[in-house]
Amino acid sequence: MTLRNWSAAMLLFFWGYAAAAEDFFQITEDKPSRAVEDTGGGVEFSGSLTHRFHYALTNQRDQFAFRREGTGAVSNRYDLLLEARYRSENNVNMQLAGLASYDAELEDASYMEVDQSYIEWGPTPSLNIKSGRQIISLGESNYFQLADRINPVDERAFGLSELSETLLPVAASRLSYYQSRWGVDLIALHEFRPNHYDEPYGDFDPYIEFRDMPLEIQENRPDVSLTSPDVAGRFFLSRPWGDIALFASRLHGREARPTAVSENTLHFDYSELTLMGASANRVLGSWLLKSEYAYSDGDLYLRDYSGERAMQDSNALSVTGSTHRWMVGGRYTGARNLTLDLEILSSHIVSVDGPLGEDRTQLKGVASIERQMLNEKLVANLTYMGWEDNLASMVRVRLDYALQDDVVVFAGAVNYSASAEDQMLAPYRNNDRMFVGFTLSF
Amino acid sequence: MTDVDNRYRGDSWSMDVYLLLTDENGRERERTLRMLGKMYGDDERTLTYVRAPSRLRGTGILTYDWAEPGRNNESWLYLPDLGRVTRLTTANRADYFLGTDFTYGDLEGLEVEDFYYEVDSELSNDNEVVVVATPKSREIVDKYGYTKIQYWVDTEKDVYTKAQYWLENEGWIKYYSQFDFEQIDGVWLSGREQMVMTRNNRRVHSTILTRGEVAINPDIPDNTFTTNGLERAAE
Repeated sequence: MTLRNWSAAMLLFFWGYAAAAEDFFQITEDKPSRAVEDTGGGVEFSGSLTHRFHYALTNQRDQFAFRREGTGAVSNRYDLLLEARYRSENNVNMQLAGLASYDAELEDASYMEVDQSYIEWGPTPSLNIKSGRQIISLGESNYFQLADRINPVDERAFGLSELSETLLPVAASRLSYYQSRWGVDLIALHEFRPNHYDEPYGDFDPYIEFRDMPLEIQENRPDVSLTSPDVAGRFFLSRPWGDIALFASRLHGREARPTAVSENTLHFDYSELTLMGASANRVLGSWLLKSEYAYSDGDLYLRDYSGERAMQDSNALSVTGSTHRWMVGGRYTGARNLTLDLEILSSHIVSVDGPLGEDRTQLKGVASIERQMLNEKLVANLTYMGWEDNLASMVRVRLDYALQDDVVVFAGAVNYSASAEDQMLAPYRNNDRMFVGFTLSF
Repeated sequence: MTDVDNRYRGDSWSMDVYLLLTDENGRERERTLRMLGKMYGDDERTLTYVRAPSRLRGTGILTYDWAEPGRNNESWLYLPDLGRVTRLTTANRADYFLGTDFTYGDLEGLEVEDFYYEVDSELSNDNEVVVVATPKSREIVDKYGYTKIQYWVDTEKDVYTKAQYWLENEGWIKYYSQFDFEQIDGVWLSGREQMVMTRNNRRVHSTILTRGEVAINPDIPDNTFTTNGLERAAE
């Protein structure tokens, strides 16, 4: 026996936990295996409680009328989601869900709403009908809403959540007919829900520039109902190398734009637009390449009016036009437990005469890298979002750690950057913050 | 190994499985899944979705596993938060499934033609053949994450009862075993499978898979194995 082998043998002898290979083939747990829960019909209950604490690291900018005056706690929010689910034996599913939200740092501290609540019925294996508040996602992008603008988003804390966490359900009826390699979706939207923004004078109030004007802001919401719905449709085709989809819709935008000034009131309206587009993805080795194109007609764009000039001129502040939007991107999964997402969005406003208060051509990009560690207990994510024309960017780092299956703690930080002349992120540029929180699922 | 790969598993099946994940400190996590499958000639379509824990509930995966050599499998993932079915790449099968010690490759089955096989006559006997599998190329090592695999094949049931996987990282070995076999409608099924991840001969993580209710050759409509079927089942 060589000295090396002898040393190894002695180490194995003294380290009691070292085991022979054969031991690892034996039953690892003495206790009886647990039974699989009944997966038949009946009512299931589930839910989650999420707490987020945000700490602002910098003072707000003096030129805007923000509520916050210094650094410190800016959000201390609890979200309670409760769900009840029923699945019958004859292909009928029902779900009822409610969301209650409370933020101790806000003036308007609490609200409640009906979350995803629907009834779903599959009269035949090919046909499915789903009616109620739901999330309907038809596009390819994980960060931008191009052809797919059905659900509004919750942007109370811009950039602090993924699109997947911010989609708000909307009352709709969806009829889907699917075969093995193709399918059709027809959708009628029965309610109008705008994007959910931060409260007036909040850190992410999108209308902050108008808050110090002596005008009352009035939003004119479109009349969308059961009898006068917004509509959308999609044709889906799947091939061995990837998927293709065609979209068309006639619906209302989710973001209000200032349209006119009357005596003491600044009027905001939502656009009514026609949207057509296509999306495709292609598998290429460890890359999933994806692309999405949308042509919209009817979106509202700010004319070159702002602040004092807006008060002096009661002409329309916004004008309707058409836009081409094109997204290209990809997801790489070739490295172990690592996902890289890249998306670039190009927008080009056409058929609008005269000067605009926003760039006709805009370019945005997102890069996200995510690493899963410790058997997916720990997930680290770094996301960069940049606006090429406005020299603005957002960088976010986030860690999620699953203490148990049902308890996840998270923490991170966000940095906003904007050039002085930037219009989009300028109000937000001093909102750098750190955040911590937890999610308890049950 | 071709016999193992081609053994009869039913023309269709549905199965509930319970997963117990244990780390080296003894902390446990649980997963409950439902798995559906159907054969189309030699091709296979499977649908797997998570029923518990609540945090992962609704996540589902649809896979078309083509028998034709060299043809890549197709796979789609349903993300309940986004309400979206998204395409998955299938080139890399070395990632671990839902934090378990099973890779996607383990669960789908490694392609027989990706490995060279050699029988270890010394360890084999009349009832059990020990087979050593070696990846044919560096690309195959990257695809599955294994540099060598040793199988203990039960020649009566045409299943491997044990397997030892050598990972790319030095000192990392996985031990697979299955127990409590029973024959249901002509198909051999184990009641319990386990995968133990070790590093330098120490257990660092393990996954026990316990089979629940199972049906062989149930009537499952073809439309279950579509992207819309994935969304409906996962909800």
